[in-house]
Amino acid sequence: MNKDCKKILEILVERGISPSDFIKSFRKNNQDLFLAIKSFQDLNTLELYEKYKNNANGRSATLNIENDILQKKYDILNISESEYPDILKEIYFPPPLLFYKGNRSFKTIKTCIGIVGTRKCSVYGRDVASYFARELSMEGITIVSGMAAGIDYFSHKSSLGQKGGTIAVMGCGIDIIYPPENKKLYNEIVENGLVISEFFPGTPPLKSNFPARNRIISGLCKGVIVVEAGNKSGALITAEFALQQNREVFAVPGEIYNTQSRGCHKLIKNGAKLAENIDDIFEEILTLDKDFSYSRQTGNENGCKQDLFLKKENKNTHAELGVSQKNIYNVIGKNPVSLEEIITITGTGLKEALRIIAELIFIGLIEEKNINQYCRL
Amino acid sequence: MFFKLDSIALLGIDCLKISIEIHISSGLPSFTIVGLPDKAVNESRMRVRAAIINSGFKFPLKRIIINLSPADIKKEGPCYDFPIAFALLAASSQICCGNNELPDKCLFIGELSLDGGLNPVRGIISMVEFASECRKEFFFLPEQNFSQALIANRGTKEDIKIISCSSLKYATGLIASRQILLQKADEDYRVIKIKSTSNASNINACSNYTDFNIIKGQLRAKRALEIAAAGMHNILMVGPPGAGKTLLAQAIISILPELSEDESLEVTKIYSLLKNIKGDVIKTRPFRNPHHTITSAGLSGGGAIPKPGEISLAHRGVLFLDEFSQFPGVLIEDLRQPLENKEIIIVRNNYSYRFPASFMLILATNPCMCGYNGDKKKDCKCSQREVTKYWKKISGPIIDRIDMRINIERLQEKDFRTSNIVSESSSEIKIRVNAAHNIQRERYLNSRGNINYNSEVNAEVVNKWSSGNDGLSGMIPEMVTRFNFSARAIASLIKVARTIADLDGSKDIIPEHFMESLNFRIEFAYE
Repeated sequence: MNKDCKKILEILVERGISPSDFIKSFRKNNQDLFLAIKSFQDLNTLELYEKYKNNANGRSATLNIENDILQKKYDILNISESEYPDILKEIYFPPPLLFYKGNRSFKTIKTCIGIVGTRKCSVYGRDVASYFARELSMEGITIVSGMAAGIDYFSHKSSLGQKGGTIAVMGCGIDIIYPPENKKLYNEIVENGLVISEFFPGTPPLKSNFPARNRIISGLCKGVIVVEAGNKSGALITAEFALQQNREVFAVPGEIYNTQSRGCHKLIKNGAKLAENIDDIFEEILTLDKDFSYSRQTGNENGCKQDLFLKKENKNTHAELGVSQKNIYNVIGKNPVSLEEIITITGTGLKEALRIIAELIFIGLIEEKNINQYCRL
Repeated sequence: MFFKLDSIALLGIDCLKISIEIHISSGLPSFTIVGLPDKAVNESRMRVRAAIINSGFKFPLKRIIINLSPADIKKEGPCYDFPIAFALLAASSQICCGNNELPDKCLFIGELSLDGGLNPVRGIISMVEFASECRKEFFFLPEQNFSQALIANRGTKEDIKIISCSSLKYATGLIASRQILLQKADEDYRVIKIKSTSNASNINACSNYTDFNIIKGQLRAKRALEIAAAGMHNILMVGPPGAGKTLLAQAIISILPELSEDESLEVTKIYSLLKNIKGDVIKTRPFRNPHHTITSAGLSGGGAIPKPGEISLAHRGVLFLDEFSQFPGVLIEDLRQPLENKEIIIVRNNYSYRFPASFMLILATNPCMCGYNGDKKKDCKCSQREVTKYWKKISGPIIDRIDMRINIERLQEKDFRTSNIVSESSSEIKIRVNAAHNIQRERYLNSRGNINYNSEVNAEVVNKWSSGNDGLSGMIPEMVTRFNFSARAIASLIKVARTIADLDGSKDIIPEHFMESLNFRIEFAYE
């Protein structure tokens, strides 16, 4: 931990100055950290000094944080450091201090896209989130999300280990895993990506933390994809922040009957870009970010689609299906069918149908979406 | 005067020899029973007194002490009335027993009625088996227990002579005219006394079981139950309310083969510990369906003097736990040991009581608190957290011991339209299941460790099946990488595949069988 961070910590923790006041002063002093710190130290009249001199709690808190950083439990970054993401500095109220954990440096992270959505996601939402996260991160884009259950979980999960990697922004202290079910995910992200938080270590996951956290998610990104959001979803707050911060907002449409797609549809009505595939995302990023280049750029939109098409074809040719297998595979379309339907249409016996379905799943041609609902992959 | 004869006490399904010692001395008339008698044993004084007088004997007006030895275990029930009365008559010289030679070869058991008649007692099958073990020659028991005792006697190595007695007077007559008793084989007595062996009164005797052909749709679940019944595999059914889990589970009894002779003896033995079973032995497999408010003692057996619990009553049959998630965690953990060892041992006062508990476990549960997780039509109202919490309670060691797990969905509208899928009736399925059972019986005839079904085999045998089978051993590594199966999961799959092969009548497990078994092992997204 460098000296600047220590001084900022002292001001924020021991003196109880709010981070937003600090940022105001930082901006007033033309982004000069030294002057900003000094301005608070100048404030240090005798009266104030007396008031905070014996703030033992605050002092022990700073000591704890210093210790933890020495033990490499997590790391700290202040707003004036060169590693601090420039894009985050642009927002209205960037956090003066960022706690982070993970084995990636901020410098290696270039373009980020946020994927947010409901915790109670449907199978469709899960697939969509996984698709965007996987495909985008394969192109070198870093996926940012909030490490909650549902959409967030699948976004992180699918982008982990890909070229772009993933960043989780937490709504609690960096040393607290919330929700606890995601412990494994947290550890995986720490190993292969970054977990960041603006909150001091030990802060519990308070309700009010999460909207604040959302502004960092959108702040880090060029654009935010909203996958499945209800009418009052926190994902809409993220979208709102994204608009304020001049980021692009994408929304994935869903079924009109599904309450979990109301929020997305509202966004589309209000002018968010409808995201159907990753080309929709790239179109916007390319206009926003001149530096960004992606591997499939030469091929343009069509090339991309062709690529996907080819992959499917390969799968078909590789698997040499028998006659009965083909029969059943032909019945199973993109729309899910049940075992009973398969049997009535093809006239195959129950035992054989069960066997062939298992074989097709094993080869990777079909999958069971919901209970007894089979469709092509 | 001193006299001594032997009787039997029940310890679980096992027995212990009890000596009934009597001492009559002069003094103020009194009648005392010592040796930890319970209330029913103590009250036998009244019955004995009345029965002796009503049988035309005299009740000695002397100081009578009766000791039930060994004196440190608790004796229960009215089954000592008969030996006590007999000993009393012998000790007061009202019947002539010579120099105690004959009573030494005999065992007595029975409850007296006030008129001197004999009433049936519980646990007669265990007692007969025990009697032959301790090399007694004659076993005097009440008339109504006779038919069961004969069946039990057929299974024992050393045939003992079972003597059915209708009353105290009749028994004393037989002993007194001991020439007849010694000369005549017990066969004659059997012929005379066998009356009521015609129709068995079964505990769950109702032939109107749910038939498989009245269940619409649910093809996969039906197939799964057929396989489960064929190999006695434990099975878990997960589905929304109204999907038909309970109905399916209840229908399984209609496709299970009848108990074999040995098995029906085992089952009757357990049931006869709880109440008097008149007539023959139990032939249909038991189906136990305890409610989730059951206590630990009720489920696994217990009490001051241990009685078999539901898991023992489901021996050789089905234990069905509906709404499994509602069962308290402690009870669920109680099932662990019996599932592994096929018996439960309860220890009380230095004595351990053993009850067999080899059952097929059927569990049914909803996928979450509200019940509609994964349903196509209805929204689940649970948060992810609640679902995880719900499954945390269920999953773990018990789920690990369950070979088959299936999802069940609610019927769709197309299932109500008459489709051209004709569902088989239970009797057709039963024929196949029966055949599979026979194949297994032959296979495990000489196996070590009391294995009867595919579900009970150990890892060693499973390894032998898979290693000797090229098609199978080639597939397994691929399976593990593709579906991330654990070693135990693979073992379960192979066992299920073995049962499918048995249903097919196939000698070896071919890849097709293994593929089908994959259908019955869903991995839950929320697990």
